[in-house]
Order: sequence, then C-alpha cells, then structure tokens
Amino acid sequence: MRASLALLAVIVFSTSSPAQQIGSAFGYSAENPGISAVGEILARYEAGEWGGGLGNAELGFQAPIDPFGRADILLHYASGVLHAHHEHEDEEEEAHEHGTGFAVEEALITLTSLPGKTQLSAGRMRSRIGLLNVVHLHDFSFIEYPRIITDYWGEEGLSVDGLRLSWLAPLPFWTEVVAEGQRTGVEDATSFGTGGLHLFFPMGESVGLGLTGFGYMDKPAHEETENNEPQDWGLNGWGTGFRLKWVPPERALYTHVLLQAELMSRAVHEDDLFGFYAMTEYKFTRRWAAGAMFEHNEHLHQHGEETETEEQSWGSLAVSYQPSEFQRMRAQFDLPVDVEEADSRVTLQWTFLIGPHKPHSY
Amino acid sequence: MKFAAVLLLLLAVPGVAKPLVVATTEDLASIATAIAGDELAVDFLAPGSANTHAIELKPSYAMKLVKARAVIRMGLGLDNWVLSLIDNARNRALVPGAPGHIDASEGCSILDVPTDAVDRSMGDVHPFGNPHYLLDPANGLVVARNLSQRFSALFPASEAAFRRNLAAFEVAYEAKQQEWGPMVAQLRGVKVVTYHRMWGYFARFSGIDPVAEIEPKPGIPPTASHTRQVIDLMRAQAVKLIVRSPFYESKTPESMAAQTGAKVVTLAPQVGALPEVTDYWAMFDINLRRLVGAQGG
Repeated sequence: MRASLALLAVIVFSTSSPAQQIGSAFGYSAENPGISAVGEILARYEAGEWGGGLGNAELGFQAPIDPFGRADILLHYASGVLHAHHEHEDEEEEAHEHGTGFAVEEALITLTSLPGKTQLSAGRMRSRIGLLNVVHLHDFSFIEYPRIITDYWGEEGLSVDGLRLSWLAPLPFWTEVVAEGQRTGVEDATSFGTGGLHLFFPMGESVGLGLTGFGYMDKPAHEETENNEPQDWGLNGWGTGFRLKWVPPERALYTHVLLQAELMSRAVHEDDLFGFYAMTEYKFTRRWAAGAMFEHNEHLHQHGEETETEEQSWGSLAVSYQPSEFQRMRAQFDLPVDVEEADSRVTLQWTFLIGPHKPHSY
Repeated sequence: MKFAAVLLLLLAVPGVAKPLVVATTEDLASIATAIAGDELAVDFLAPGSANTHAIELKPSYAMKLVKARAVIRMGLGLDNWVLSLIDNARNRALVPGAPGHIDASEGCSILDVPTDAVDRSMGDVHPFGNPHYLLDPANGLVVARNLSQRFSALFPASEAAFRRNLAAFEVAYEAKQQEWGPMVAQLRGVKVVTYHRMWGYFARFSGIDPVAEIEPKPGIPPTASHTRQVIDLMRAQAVKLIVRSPFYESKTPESMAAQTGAKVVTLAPQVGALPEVTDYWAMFDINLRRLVGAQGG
C-alpha cells in the first residue's frame, strides 16, 4: 500500500532540458556514426595556491541505428583535478578518489517513435530529473554543477542504469511525462524510480518558458531503520524549477538572456535535505557572455564520528569568451557566503570541441 | 430552442483539416505554399528573421512536427537540427528515408562543393556545398518541381491541383525573369563585399561580383586584422557596396563603409528576413531594387 501511494506520489514533474542553440555542423554519414570529442582544461586559485590540468574529456558516438531508433554512447573522463589541492591529508586522499578515469557515462538505445507518441530508452543514461541533471557539464553556463546536483545525486549527477519511458501528451503545448527506473541485483546498488513532467510554453518568437517537476523514490540497499529492518520504497526526493530564455531570432548570434532556478529536496539518512540555485546568463556580444549564480543548500558534514546537517551558500560570477562556436574560455569567481573552512576561489576553464556534436535532447 | 442549437452544434460534421506539411525555413514554406495551394496547410519552423546557422531549438518547434504529414528541409547540412526535432516529435512519417521526409535540394545546382577534404580550420564550411541555394531563382524552380512531385506521391488525390500550381509557378518565374532583366543588366560585374559567404547563388543570378567577406572564414566573427585587409582590398578594387543580412551586426560594415566611402546595403537572404519580403518572388524584387538603388545613387 505504501509503495502504491509512493508510486502515485511520484507522478511529478521534470522538465525538458533546455532548448539548445546549436550550430549548423552536426550530421552523420551513411555508414559511420557522428564521432565527437570534448576536452576541458582547468586551473584554480584557492587558498594561495594554483593548481590545474586536464579536467574532463568526453568521447561521443551518436547515430540512428535504423528507421526505428538511435544509439548514443558517451565515454567520460573526469580527472578530479579541482579537488586535488586540499591541505588535509584525508581530504587529499578523498580528492584522488574523485578522479573517475574513462567511464561509460551514457550508452543507450532509444526507440524514437513507438505507438501512442511514446519513446523507450534502455541502457545507461543521465536521468531527466529537473532541468540541469541531463545537461552535460560542458554545456552548462558555469564550471561545476550546483551543489544540489552534486551533494544530492552524486559528483556527476544522477544516472539511470535501466529504462526510461517518455510520453508526449496530446495537448496544444509541449507536455511530456517521463518515468525512469533501475532495479539491480547488485547488493550495494540502489534501486530507484523517477517520474516527471516537462512543460514548455512559447511566448512569441523570442521567449520560451520551461517548467519542471519530478519525484524520486528509492529502496536503499544498505540503509536500515532504527529497528534494523530493511527500508521500504519511499519518496526520497523531489524538485521543481523553471527556465525562461529570451533570444530574439534576428539577434541570436549576439544576445540572449537566461533565467533559471531549481529547488530540490533529498532524504539522506532520515534527514530531508533541501536546497536551490538561481542563475542568470547574459550574452552581450557574439563572443562574450556573463553569468551569475546564487546557491544555498543543506548537506551532511562529517565531524569525526558524528554526521551533522549543515547549511552553505555560495555566489558565483562567470565571464566567457568564444572565439568560435567550437571553443570557449571562461573565468569564474566563487564566493563562500556562509560556509565554514572555505575560501573564495578563481577558476579558469578552456573547453574545446571537435566533430559533429549532436544537440542533447530537451 | 437553446437545447436544439447546442444539439445542432454537437452534431455538426467537423470540417476535415487539411494535411499539414512543415518546412524548416520560411523560404521553403513560401514555395511549398505556392505548390500546395488550397490542398495542404503549410507551416514553418525557423522564421525568416532568424539566422539558420543559429537556431534556438524549442519544444514548440517539435510540436509543429507531431501532426505533420511531411517535413521539407533545405538539406546540405544547413538544417540538420531538424533531425533532433523529428526525434522529439515521435513522428515516424518524417524520419529520413520516409516519403514524408523531403530534401528540397535534390537536383539543385550547388556551388562551393569541396573537392578536397574539409575541416574546421577552414571555418564552418559545409561539406556538401553552399546551402543558400534558394538565392538563385533557378533553384527555386527546381524546388517547386520537387515539391509538386513529392506532394503528388504523398497526396495523390490532389495531384492535378499540384500540377496546376506548378504550372502557375513556372509562368510567374518566366514573367519575373523578364521583369528583373533590366536590373540584372545594371548589376552585372558590380563588385561587392559581403558579410558571410552566402551570396554566391545570388551573384550567379544577378551578376554581382563578391570579392571578399567580412568574416575571415565562414562562421568566424570579424577580426581587426582581417577587416583592415578587406578595407585595403576595397580601396584597391574600388568596391562601393557592402552587402549584409539583417541578422548580422551592422557596426563593422558601417565602420568599413565610413573608411572607404562605400554604402552598406541590407538584403534579405530569405523570405521574412525583411518585413516587406513576404514571398519568394518579393525577395528578389526587393534585393535587386535595393542594389540598383544603392549602386546608382
């Protein structure tokens, strides 16, 4: 009964990932898939020290399989370089663990036009919870994901090893219902399911509003209640957000304004953690854009044997320069507003892309 | 009485909606409307005011494709973004290879097809050739014939109407050739500098001679050094016209014009790019008049 109620509760919202502005060049030859690669070089000044190196790299293979479906395979390397300069030995050890080496970030088949306006994806994929989780980091307006993504869903966000079913409702505006889930036989893996709704409302040719909401339910593999009973399925996360973008078609090369915010909650160790981010980005010439973000969230902090819930707030400013559509340099300043043992820092990022990079689905 | 009126409304046979075809650009939609006549409903995705190299993909565009019976695309890599929209629309009738997936470029005379391997050190070069082929009305005629043929295969009951509409389009094309002739004669050999490499087809039709681009390479924003080189070339070759499209910035062309005594002429590279360019023929009417006016004045 409880599981049924939770299943009902999980009919929530998630929204389409952002509409994408793309260039003209992506495509496939008849026989070969589109092969693309993204590289990212990072440098950070923090607590009087500079550090840096290769940050992330992504290798993608994307193509239609046949008239019925397509395949996307993305390999991702994360060096963890931004975490490798800490004063404390235990933190340094932890930092090295952030490096993932090359791993399969996504490998999925999608049947694109099933009956009833449905799509089915199977394999490993970034979860479509909220607005940002589905967006690859190199497509984001800042150098790192907001902390409600990394603290609540993992360093790389939430991935699904399982199935996704998406249904386009027969309404006059974009209304997509998405359900995802994974259930593994592996002892230390968590089985979970998500449900969400993606809405999009055009406001003339220049403005678009996306709305999102989602619910997340899981059955933790290791966590037990105080009575040492295995935990049952429960609604252990939810979120909602909006994305408002102004892009005049005749000036799309030169300007846009983006406003985006999400709030999320995640239950961890019987604590309901809550947080949000709000960001804006303004492109003011063909080459230059600037952004600002404020984020606040509750997270768990280890004090010796004790785990405590702490709050943190950060402000970030970013300026980026794009010599062409295929490379971008960015400088970002992060200011801890209300964080213990944290310094302000400056991070430099240089991202480059080769090959036909298919726009991510929204 | 009220009850009877409501009952009548409920029992009224709903009008049969026309089949919908969606073009990726307003250009293609204009030609498609001429061929479809009253038989089909025609819509488009990217408005003519937009630069087709920088389209903001929106879920609302995919919504237009959900119920479409056919999608018409420019091809040659210009509008590959529509593939993602087709995926999201979940409409099997539109996938590449399906009868409802129409590449309008088939049979068109294409310029700038690379003979050697291309890469991005050359800028945003289209590996299948210059995709702005509708700026030559001869290619517009080929597209009209393509659409008549493909519409007839998809909607055979309306084949006679499509043929009639194509015949009218061909007559209009011949009449326009006569009308444009004197203006084309005035423009033959007139040297121009263009902002982006997109006016080759219009040059083939009108006889103007594009000698350089303000972008150092296709898709790469102007640089100070390249701008200086183009100014030197304009002075050396006495170039008096700079052609820009409305969706490119005007500051650089205006500055170059001020330094060389040239005039900046804003032309419509596609239907809808200027308010008065409301259909395919009007695009050539307006562009030719503006060029002749700028060159003569």
